Amino acid sequence: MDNRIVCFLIIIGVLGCNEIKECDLDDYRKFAVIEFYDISTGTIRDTLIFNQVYSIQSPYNFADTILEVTGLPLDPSGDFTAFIFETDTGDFNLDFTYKREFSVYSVDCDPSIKFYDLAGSSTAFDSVEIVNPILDREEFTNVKVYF
Amino acid sequence: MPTKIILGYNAVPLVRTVFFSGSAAQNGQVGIDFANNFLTVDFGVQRTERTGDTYSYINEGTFYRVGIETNVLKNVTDANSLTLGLRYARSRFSDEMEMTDDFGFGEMTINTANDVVKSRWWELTFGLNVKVYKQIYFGYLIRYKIYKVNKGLGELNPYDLPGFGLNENDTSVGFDYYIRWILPFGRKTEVVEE
Repeated sequence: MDNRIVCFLIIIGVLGCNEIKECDLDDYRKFAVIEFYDISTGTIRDTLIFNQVYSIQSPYNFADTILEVTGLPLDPSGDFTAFIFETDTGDFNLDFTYKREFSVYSVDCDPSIKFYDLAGSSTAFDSVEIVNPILDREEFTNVKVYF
Repeated sequence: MPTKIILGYNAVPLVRTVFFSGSAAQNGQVGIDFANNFLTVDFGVQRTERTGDTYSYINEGTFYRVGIETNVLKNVTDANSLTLGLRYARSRFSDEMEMTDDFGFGEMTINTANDVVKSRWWELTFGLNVKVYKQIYFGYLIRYKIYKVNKGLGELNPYDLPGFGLNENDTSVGFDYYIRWILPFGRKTEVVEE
């Protein structure tokens, strides 16, 4: 066999084993994007002021002011994350359940976590609509909250 | 009737084991010929360990491949061959990942694992085998791996499949370099005394 063909096949094989990925191009996000809507008009609420937004599982305060949309992280150690939106007049809860899939996206990147089958509920907000149950880049918004 | 027994050792996993950290693998094969075909069984073990800033991943398992290769060369001397073949492959492995990071809930360590995953796929092969000294032959084999199926996956999506390559790909191309010992078998030359 022609040696050039052999060399070509070897080079193709080696190149095929060395695909380099951009870490930022991981398809999956670790936070859910939430939009708040006025239930009477169906329009998005521009600005919401809370005392704080936190999860009982997290030591962090995620927000106090929400401008139209916000991203809230989901706890990858379990399949449930509960958030509290605290106001002067009372607390609003927003609970999520989901499934997880872990993978090594690329050896040089942080592991990828796929959150999917997202479901949401609240006893304080009027309704919670899941518009994209997978936390990926296909559709920006995951949850619409009406009150 | 078979006339040869083939014992082969794949040098590519050995090179990876020696020169690339985090990878240890061995792969051998046995086979026999019938007519202008070879019935071949490959078997191998593989362990890969990958680490990043926030994670470590270990994958460990075995695999085998069974198939037929047909020598397209006619009227060749010795056992030189240019082959086209088809193989069925199976892999059985476990993998685990530990990652430590702050995902918004304080720094936490998450462990996830698959205890037993079984994979299967098919391979189309193209190979060349040339005699270099007495019963010793060198040759390469290019494998195009298709129709991959995994069973037993949990929350962890494996990075590697032993014997296949990266799990994210539905198809894969492999290059193996075999050192083979081909032994005459069964048929003996009769010596006629005058």
